[in-house]
Amino acid sequence: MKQIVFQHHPGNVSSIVRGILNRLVIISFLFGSLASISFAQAENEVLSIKSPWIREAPPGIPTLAAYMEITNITESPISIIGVSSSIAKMTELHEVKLENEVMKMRKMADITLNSGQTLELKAGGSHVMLMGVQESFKQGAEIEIIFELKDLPAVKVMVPVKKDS
Amino acid sequence: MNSILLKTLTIILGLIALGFGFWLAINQQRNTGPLISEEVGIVYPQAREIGDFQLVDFDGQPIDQQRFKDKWWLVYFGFTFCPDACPMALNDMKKIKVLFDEKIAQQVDFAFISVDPARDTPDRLKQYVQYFDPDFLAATGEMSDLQELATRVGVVFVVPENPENQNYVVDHSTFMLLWNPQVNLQAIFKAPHKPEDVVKGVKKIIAAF
Repeated sequence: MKQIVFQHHPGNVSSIVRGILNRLVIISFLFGSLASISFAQAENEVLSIKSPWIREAPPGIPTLAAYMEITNITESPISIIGVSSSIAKMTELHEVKLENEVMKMRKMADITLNSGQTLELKAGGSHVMLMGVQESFKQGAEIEIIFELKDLPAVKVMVPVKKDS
Repeated sequence: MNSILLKTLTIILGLIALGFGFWLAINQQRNTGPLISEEVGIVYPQAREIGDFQLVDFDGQPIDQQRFKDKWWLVYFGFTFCPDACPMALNDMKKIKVLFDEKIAQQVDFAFISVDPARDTPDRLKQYVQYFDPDFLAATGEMSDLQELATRVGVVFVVPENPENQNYVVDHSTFMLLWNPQVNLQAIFKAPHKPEDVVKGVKKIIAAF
């Protein structure tokens, strides 16, 4: 850190040059930091989230379903090990199976998406289930959902609330 | 010359007759075919008897089969904490109601029967069903009465006996049932319910029975 301290002695040419050099060091240091921050952000973009939405629920109903397409856009497999939202007491990834015309919802085990693989959460099928929601969210509201990933920073998604078409 | 004309005319008339024959045959097959396709649902030529039952409506009033008499009813069994299948089915019912022409609309009512009476109080049911349409009826009942009624109409549901918390889910059939004006089961529509298909089906069934 010592080399970036700016020392200015007026009238001394070498000290002016040193001053300029020091400024350059500071500027390049700042640029370097900025570059490393944006690089870190790029590193965080490991999942592509398409068409996210949450179905508006009738008044007083504390459960919501969120839908979206989650694609692993990295070269390596990614494991989703948890999902959460601050507005719900419990949030789970639910898979839906229609067995003999009986709809069965179950919590999904941890999911590993291979490179390029997509997890499709769509109406009438698997979804993120938000339970114990106290507030009523109307069309136009946005709810944050956080996906926890194995060995990677969590991914936050803002999901708009919409009415069923 | 005359004989050539006669032959040509005979051939033309023959072809017309053949075409008419084919048309008749196809048309007849169409008329005797099923009222709705297998993917859409099942129609019972002899309506399945439902018999007596007891429920509690969304005003907390006891109701029985008389409440459903003299109208056709589209009925869905579910629970209000259901985030996916039930709101989708009720949204489909809402669309079906809008798509019915006036004559059919006057003959058909809609009901949601909750199989989760522990959480679905009459108040909650009223708020829930009226969010979709103020004309929809909702009811629930004693668990044993619900089990019996569901069995009679071919609906399966499983409520966990000792749930860990209040956020349990209920497995249930996703049929939309069609009850006739004698309160017997005339048809079932399978999920996913395409409103247009249900509308066409109900219209044909009402015309046929």
